[in-house]
Amino acid sequence: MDIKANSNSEQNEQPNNSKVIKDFSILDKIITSRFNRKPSIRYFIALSAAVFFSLIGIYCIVETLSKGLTIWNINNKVSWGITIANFVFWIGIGHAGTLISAILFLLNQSWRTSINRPAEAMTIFALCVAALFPLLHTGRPWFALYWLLPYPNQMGIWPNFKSPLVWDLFAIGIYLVVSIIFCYVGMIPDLSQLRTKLKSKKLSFLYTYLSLGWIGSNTQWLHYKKLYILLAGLITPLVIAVHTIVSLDFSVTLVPGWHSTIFPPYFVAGAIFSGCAIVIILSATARNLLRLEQLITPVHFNNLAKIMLATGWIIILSYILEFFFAFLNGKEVEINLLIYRMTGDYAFLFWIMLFINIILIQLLWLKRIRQNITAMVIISIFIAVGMWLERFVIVVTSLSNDYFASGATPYFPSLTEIGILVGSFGFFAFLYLIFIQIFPIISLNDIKSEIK
Amino acid sequence: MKTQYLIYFDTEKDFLYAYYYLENIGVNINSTLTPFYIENMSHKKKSNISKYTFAGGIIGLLFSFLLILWLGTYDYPLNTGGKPLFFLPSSIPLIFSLTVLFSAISSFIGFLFKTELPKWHIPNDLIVKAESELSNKFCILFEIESSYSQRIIEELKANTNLSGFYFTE
Repeated sequence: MDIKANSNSEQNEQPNNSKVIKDFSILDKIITSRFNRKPSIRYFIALSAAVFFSLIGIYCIVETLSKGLTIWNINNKVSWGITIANFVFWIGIGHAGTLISAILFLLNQSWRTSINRPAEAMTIFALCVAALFPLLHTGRPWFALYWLLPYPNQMGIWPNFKSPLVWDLFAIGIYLVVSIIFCYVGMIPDLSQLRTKLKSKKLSFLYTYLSLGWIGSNTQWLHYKKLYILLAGLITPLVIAVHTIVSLDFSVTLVPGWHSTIFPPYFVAGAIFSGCAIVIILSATARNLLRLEQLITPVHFNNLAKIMLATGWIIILSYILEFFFAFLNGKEVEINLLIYRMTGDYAFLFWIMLFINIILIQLLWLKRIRQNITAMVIISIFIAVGMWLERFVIVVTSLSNDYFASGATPYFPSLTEIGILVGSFGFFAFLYLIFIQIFPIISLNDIKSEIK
Repeated sequence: MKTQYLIYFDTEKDFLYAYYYLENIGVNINSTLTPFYIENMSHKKKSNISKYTFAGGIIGLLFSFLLILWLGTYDYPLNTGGKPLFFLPSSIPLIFSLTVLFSAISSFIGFLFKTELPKWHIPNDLIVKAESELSNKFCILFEIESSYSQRIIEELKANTNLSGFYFTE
């Protein structure tokens, strides 16, 4: 069959070209140009740093697996050390990704289109990193699947389905699967549009298969949009449920400082707060490394800062309520715990946490700060530190000062535990840097529909 | 004899004009290819993927409910501190999570089924051409009697900024 052509290409080259064509072309060029050239030196430096920190983490994990948990400083009283604080921290990070992607999509916030993909990638990688910690904490992770997965052991006993720990496994596992589907579905049209524009045959081959033969017909778009809305609708309550269940790991116990009904909203708000901070760091990294200044603008940082400020105030309210309830119910052990947090072995961490999470975030009221990307990255790093400290304070101070006075040895993490924490950041950064080098970090079809 | 045309535009506005024009004069439109979803075209069609979502959700709900009920009361009824063998409130987190999982997976499967993906071979040469070269254009693929085709193309050229077209005889 002969295909005959007739085009008005000369007309398109006139100065009066429509804005649409001009912008679409620029957009494609921005996205594909980085695939068609070697990564920058800055990218390799960042990747090397990520690999270096990952290797530290791997070394510490191997040491833990070979020598056992005795090389950690956890003891009978503080049996959940920073490993569980890390777990809660990373699960929290995994939440803002879907919040930005799904909830802002449902709320028709068009500004999300430039940052939703870094956020979705962040969710997936943060969950992978988070899963590492409870596995290591079992001591013998090679038995973990046997203990955790829902099938009966040799005695015929199933895992306790009434336990939040089992709910956790289900919720996090399912959240990971649904997040991967959501992220992948969002990429299908972009992969299809980019696959013919790539010079790399390997990448083009990968895109061809991952795009599943998408051609962008009206029928495909119709079902695609419906699927995207449905997935966004499904994943939104899941986001809330997952961190609620993580908070139930703590609040269903009788440990002072944990046994509180405020924990689920407190944890969810904290997760969004810290997650937005990491999205800001990742978006700024992608903007800088991939030269995406035209697509990721100060407006995005400004809006993310507003979300952080709002969730930051929910956290402040939670801190106030924690104090209020402790003194309202008059339980000595709760009051003692609060005094211990303020004056005890970890008081300096507690006050740093309060300074960051209450005082420092007030800078976000200033529009000048919110639109200054360097300032936002610095504040976000502080917020990440502040929220990690919050997890540490919740986990360690409560266990250090519970009902039993015996064996009250202060817990300070060993170098191996700190090494695993450092490694988790390195591994997370490594996964993210590889992702932005292979896949389109900007949602092309969304942006094209915005600039039409 | 019928001729198959692939016409393409630079803007959504021209594309929509041509789409409705062709539709109104009764031309058989085979397909449209656009760089993003165009809402105005979907007034007559509705996606029924939500049926798959609902079906998946029901299966997930029943599966998780019956699993917990069966293992708690029949397979290994373990009495822990006199607590009931099956207690609905403590089962809700698991039932909810599994319902969402089944819904999401069945929605995705429904999407693949309805869009006939994955498809590694595109049988129409014009669509292959459009897909490889015109990814940023708004394309319409239609079939028309050869005797009318010239008149329709002229009409579209007069009323829209038609960027170009391909045809096969």
